[in-house]
Amino acid sequence: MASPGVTVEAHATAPPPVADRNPPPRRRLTRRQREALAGYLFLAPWFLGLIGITLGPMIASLWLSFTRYNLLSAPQWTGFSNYSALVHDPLFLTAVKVTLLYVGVSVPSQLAFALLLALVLNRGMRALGLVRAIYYVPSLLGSSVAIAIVWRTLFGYDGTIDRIVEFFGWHNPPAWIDDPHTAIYTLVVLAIWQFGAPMIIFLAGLRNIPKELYEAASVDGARRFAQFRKVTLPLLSPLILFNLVLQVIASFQAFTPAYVISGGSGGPANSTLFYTLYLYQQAFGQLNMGYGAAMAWLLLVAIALVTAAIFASSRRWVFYMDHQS
Amino acid sequence: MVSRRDFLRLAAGTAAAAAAAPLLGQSASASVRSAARVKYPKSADIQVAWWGGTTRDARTEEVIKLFESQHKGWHVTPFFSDFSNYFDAMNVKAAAGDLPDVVQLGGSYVPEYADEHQLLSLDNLSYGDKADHAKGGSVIDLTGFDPGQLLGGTVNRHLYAVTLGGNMPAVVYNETLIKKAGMQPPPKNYTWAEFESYLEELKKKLPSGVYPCDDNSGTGGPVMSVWVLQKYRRMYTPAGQLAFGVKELEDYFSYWQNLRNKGLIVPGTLEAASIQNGTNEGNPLVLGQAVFTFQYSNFLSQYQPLMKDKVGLIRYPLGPKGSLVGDFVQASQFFSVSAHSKAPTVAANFINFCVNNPHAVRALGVERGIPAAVRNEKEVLHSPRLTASDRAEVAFEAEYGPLTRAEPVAPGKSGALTSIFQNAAQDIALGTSSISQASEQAMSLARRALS
Repeated sequence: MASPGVTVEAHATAPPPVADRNPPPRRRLTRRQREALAGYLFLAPWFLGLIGITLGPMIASLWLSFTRYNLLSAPQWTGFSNYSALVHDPLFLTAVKVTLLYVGVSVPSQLAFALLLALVLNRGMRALGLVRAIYYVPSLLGSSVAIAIVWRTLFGYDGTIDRIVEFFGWHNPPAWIDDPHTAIYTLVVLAIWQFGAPMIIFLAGLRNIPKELYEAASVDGARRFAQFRKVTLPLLSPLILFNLVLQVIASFQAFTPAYVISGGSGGPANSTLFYTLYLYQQAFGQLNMGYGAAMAWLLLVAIALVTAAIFASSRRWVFYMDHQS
Repeated sequence: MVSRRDFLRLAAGTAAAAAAAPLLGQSASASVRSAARVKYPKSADIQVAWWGGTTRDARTEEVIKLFESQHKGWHVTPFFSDFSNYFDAMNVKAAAGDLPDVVQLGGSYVPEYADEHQLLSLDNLSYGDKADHAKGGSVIDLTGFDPGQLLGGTVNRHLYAVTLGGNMPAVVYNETLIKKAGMQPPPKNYTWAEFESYLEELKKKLPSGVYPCDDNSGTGGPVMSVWVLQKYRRMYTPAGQLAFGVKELEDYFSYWQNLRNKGLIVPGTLEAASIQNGTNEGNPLVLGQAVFTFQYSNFLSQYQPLMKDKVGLIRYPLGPKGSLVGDFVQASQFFSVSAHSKAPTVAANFINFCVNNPHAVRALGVERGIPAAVRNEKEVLHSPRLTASDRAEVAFEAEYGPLTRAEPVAPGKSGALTSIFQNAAQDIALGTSSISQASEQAMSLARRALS
């Protein structure tokens, strides 16, 4: 950030084109202030974005959550009635259950799978860079509408998965996305498939674990699994925490796959009625925007509490090597 | 034969005609006020939105091309999707004050959007008779339109929506499969109980994998409404709440549960696949999984092009002796003009083109229902493009339309009920709720949605 400052200074010291005998004393910014000003100017687009498309709408939605608002006419203040109505809404409770199940199953499974693949890749292979890149692709595509449509085709009635399991002799497979008992797990599999981002992070972490530790462990007679438990996991735990927090937050907010796979209904029988999907249905389908805003704020608070709980628990299971040395 | 207009008058009843009369009078007095000729912009770009299947998309796009070729300088941008997502998109557009210039609406959305000042009153842009038109200032020719259907597009005595055709509840059946089974379609005036025994007999003669009937307990046509109206004079109380209780809902779902237990309707998972698909192509009847499906009459001309088997129409089953008539002729859907349209006269002109231009009327056929004016119905009937199934649709409405009751008036907030009752039906079909649980929950959700 030095060059803009220099330029400004160069202009400032150049003689003015029209000479003035006694120029009035101008208050000059110090170099420090100028740099700060330049810094804020460079930050301005981001600040505008933050205020205009994040903070502003958030505050507006907080206000809307205390109103009855149907998008088309002006909101009416109704106090806490949206929040108290939530408690009596059976579909809201269903949505909470579905979302907790999804987060509870998909996040640990996805992280375990990502770690497993990272361990395999870390054993060294040819064209590691290429394999890593290929495995990362699903993470880029996974939350897109296109992939959700592919998923629907795979797991749909008489879809690809049905054909494959039939080939292997399973003639009466479950109805996957059309059966309320299995539909949510097809979404879990979709989440697991997007293992790329945590895998890359794990892989980087694995490479940072000093070889000497493994050598020392094997000298002490630790076998492979003991090494994994006593060396790899503790040293990887900060990254597990990092991935856990990120994935939990993302999973609570999952929307697209459930919307596309259930055709926007959260079906069959509300078994894929994610919290965000029900929020969307209320806000945009039934035009209960105030109710939707209340749901959104409740979700924000819930995610904050869960994240705080994870951090609080981390003292017991996350191991930072530099603290010990 | 009774002309269609005559029976629609009968069907709509004198009340409807009486209520529509001041409407037409009003547009007359209004055009006196704006006696000037309609001013059209030289160039305009309007957006036209509709929901529907592939056949409707093709027909409507053909009309748009025709409209553009006859009106140089006017451009139409189409917007279409299937039904399931259409109103989510329209709601968002309405909220942004950006509703398409011409927007297809159905049922309760006309009062809902009109009450929220999203729609332009067409009183000054339409005319009901020649004298009215001579005074100038009006665009949409509604002479000879069925008063009942005009009333369907009227809110607080102002016209907000122009009917695109009339339809009525009808069961679509696969004639080829019934013939192959060595049977005849159900006889006229069959009841719900007789329908059940018919399906039982049919089931014995069908190949495996084909179910006698689709599961229409929560999908398809207005089955629950017709069921209820066979017992109650009205669907909603004057206060806008449901006029029937949870017991009625339980009876209704029990009828379907019984068919389900006997294997007479497609299982819940197949129905779920069809809901997820959301298009006509994914309908169990079209896929050859079911022989009967409860729909509206104009679905005949939507399903037939997608199928090799021949399909036909019968009336919904009747209630037991002494029951009321439950079915009704209605405007299947409307075109409205957005209150925020920058070119309202062009938008109105497009609507007029769709419902009155002979070429456009022929292109649209009876896919959105049967034209609401006899002169335009004749245009369709003489069109060489009319198919056998189109003719069957017209004949069906000509036969049964006169026997129907007046269309029940739906309150503006009733749009949410479709998904509430569909969810209840699906919970029961997939066994995640008992009939009484699902009915109780649906009733309480419906009460809240309507309040």
